[in-house]
Amino acid sequence: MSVLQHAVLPGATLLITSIGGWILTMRNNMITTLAEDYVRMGRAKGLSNRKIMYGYAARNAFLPNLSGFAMSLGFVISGAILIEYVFNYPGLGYLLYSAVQNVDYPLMQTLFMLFTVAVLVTVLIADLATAWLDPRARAKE
Amino acid sequence: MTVLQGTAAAAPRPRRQGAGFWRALRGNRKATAGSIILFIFVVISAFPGLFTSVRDANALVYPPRLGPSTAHLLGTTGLGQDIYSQLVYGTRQSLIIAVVAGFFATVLSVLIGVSAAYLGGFLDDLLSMLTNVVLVIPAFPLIIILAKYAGHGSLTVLLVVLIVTGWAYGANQMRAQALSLRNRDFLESARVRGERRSYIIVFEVLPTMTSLIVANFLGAALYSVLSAAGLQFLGLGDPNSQSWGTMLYWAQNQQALQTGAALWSIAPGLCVALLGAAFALMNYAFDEIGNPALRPVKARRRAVPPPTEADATVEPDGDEPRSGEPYSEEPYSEGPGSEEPGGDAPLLRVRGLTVEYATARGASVAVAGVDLDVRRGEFVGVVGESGCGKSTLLFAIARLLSPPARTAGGSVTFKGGNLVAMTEKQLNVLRWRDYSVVMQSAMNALNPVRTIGAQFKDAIDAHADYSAERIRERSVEVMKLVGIDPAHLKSYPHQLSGGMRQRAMIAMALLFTPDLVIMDEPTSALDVVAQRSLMVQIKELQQLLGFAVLFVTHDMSPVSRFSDRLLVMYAGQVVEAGPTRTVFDAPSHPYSRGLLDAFPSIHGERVELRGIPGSPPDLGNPPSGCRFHPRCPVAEEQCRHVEPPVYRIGEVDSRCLLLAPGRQPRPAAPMEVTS
Repeated sequence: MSVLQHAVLPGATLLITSIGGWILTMRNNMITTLAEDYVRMGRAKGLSNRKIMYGYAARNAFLPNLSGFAMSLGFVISGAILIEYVFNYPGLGYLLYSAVQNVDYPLMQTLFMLFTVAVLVTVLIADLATAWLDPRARAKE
Repeated sequence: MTVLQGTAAAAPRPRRQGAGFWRALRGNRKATAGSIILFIFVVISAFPGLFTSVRDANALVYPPRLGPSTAHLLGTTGLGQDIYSQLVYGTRQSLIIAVVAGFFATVLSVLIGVSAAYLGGFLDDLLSMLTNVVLVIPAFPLIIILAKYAGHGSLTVLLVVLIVTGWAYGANQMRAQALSLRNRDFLESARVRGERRSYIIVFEVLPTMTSLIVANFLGAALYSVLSAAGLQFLGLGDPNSQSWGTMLYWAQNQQALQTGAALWSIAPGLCVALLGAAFALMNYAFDEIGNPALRPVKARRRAVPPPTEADATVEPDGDEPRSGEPYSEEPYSEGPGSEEPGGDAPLLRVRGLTVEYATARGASVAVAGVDLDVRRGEFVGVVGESGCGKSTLLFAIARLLSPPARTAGGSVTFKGGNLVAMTEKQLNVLRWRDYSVVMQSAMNALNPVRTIGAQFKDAIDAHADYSAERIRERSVEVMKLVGIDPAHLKSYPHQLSGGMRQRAMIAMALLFTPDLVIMDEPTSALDVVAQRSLMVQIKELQQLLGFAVLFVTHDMSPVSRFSDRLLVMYAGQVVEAGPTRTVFDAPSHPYSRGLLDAFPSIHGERVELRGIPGSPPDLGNPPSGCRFHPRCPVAEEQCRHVEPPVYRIGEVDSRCLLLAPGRQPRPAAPMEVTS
């Protein structure tokens, strides 16, 4: 329980610092998508605004964000080093920091590999999700 | 670059972002704010002595933890240094890191990205793989390890580490952009001229990538400042250096927040944030200039009609003087007697419809007071050159304009209601049930991530409460109507051919068998054979189901055979309107004649094809008098000054001064049609 309780502040910090960029990117993608003909077609069909926004615009605007999202999970781990250091939160980032301070190369290597594998796995998941969400990606091969 | 101007004339290269680009940048508030902040920091870093009298800001000479006072503007550190002067001296290092690391990371990005794109083959694979590997490696942990490994971080080590980890993201973007430029005409022409590859890259490719490169530099600078501050904060920089990050390190080290010297951490933190914000602001400004749609919307603009037409009911008299139209000599109408509401009233009646585009140089009128009628079951064609406002007219009628376009005046009476004055809610009652729309390119107009069937279902669900079974039945029915295997309801748009997509669009438009189907160049993306069969099908469906069609195209051939009435548009105005056969056989307006002369006839003798010299006018600044006079072969002096009203010649309405009553019925013209 206390693990969760102590994670609240670091987690909130992480969220607040990274969410702005995503909102901006999504906004820009949304604006580009809203100019598409199929959004205008949705209006012509008399669909409700909600349907147009989520079913037509957001569904498409989100796709290019997916892989970037996965990449950013890697950056979340790296960003967490600073946050964990500030909050003295004993996570992987803090572990890496102490490994660096104590010149513990085996630990550094292991952690670094762990981070890299984590990013690779999230990228893989993002690719699978893209295939699931975008019929065009499925058709490539 | 000036050397090139002459030789490149054959295939003009997209202009480098020149004067207009910098003007746009100056006018951009984000760019202004960002550069002001940056400028202040640059001045401080160049002349720190002007801003503080302290010479050695790291010397421990003051009492620790003093509050802000006139002697110490921001108080002193827990170790007894003046916080303000530390900030002043720390500026230099942050800026050096931003500029140097940003610059070299960008250079690496350009080198690797552009080389990968232009060398191609094995080297491209290798460089792309390298880029992707660096991208996937978590950057910050790598920086930490590298910084530690390289020994206690001098500035040089820090810079090298930041550059090595910071180039990959940009390289990917550079490669993508360079690839997209690769096959453009201006580069082909340079290759044909026999220019060396390195020459092409440096003088032809890079200039067109300016804005991406600058944006990339700003991004890399931002990344470097933040990463460097992070590293120094963790104590991986030189603890004796003068920088904001080092200040943060010592503040954390001495527990500034707990000991009442909060400004010791807050002030350098804010400085880092400010500098970062400056780079970010400028970066966003570049994005916005490159893609104007991203600019913040100033006010909620909607296609609100002027107050005079606020009433969404039928106007008893459709022929009242139209806004902005000085003439009232001859009412543009089907003749007296045919206008009584309820009697033979047309299904769709458009009067004085005007559409404006808001541009930087003021409003540009794309549709200027257009009148048109569509009767039940009628097939009305609208033809004109690209850019004459015909598609804008359709979207205005269907109330589908989006900013910067807006309906500035006029009325669209459809089945007794004025569409222009309706709210979205009122419109949605009519949409698809009473009138539907078929768009130009079905690939773009169909949602790529939903099946055809799902999109049919969306349309039905929006207007009716059908059971799933009934939706399926109706979808199968309309698919059969247009001759597509209903199995394709389960297909996605990209799985169908162009002709099938267009048919699927038409099928979707017929779901509720509306009274009016508005078609915007539905055939122009298809080859001639597919065009012809689609037109035949539209005509058959129309006769079978009895809907009216308003059909816009730049291509005379589809409308010539299938439409009942024809409107010719030029520069936002209808210049001629009448029964299709009459307009075709004896065009009265010089523009219609020119348009017809530009198309070959399969039957009849061979005649030399003539186009219309010149190009359509700029709608932001249309010619005075008759809008066609600069290109008109029979223009007279009066055409320059007098805006022609609409004259009725037999069954045809024509907007040409030479047809004024009292003159000879037909001007003697060199382009007289003889057939």
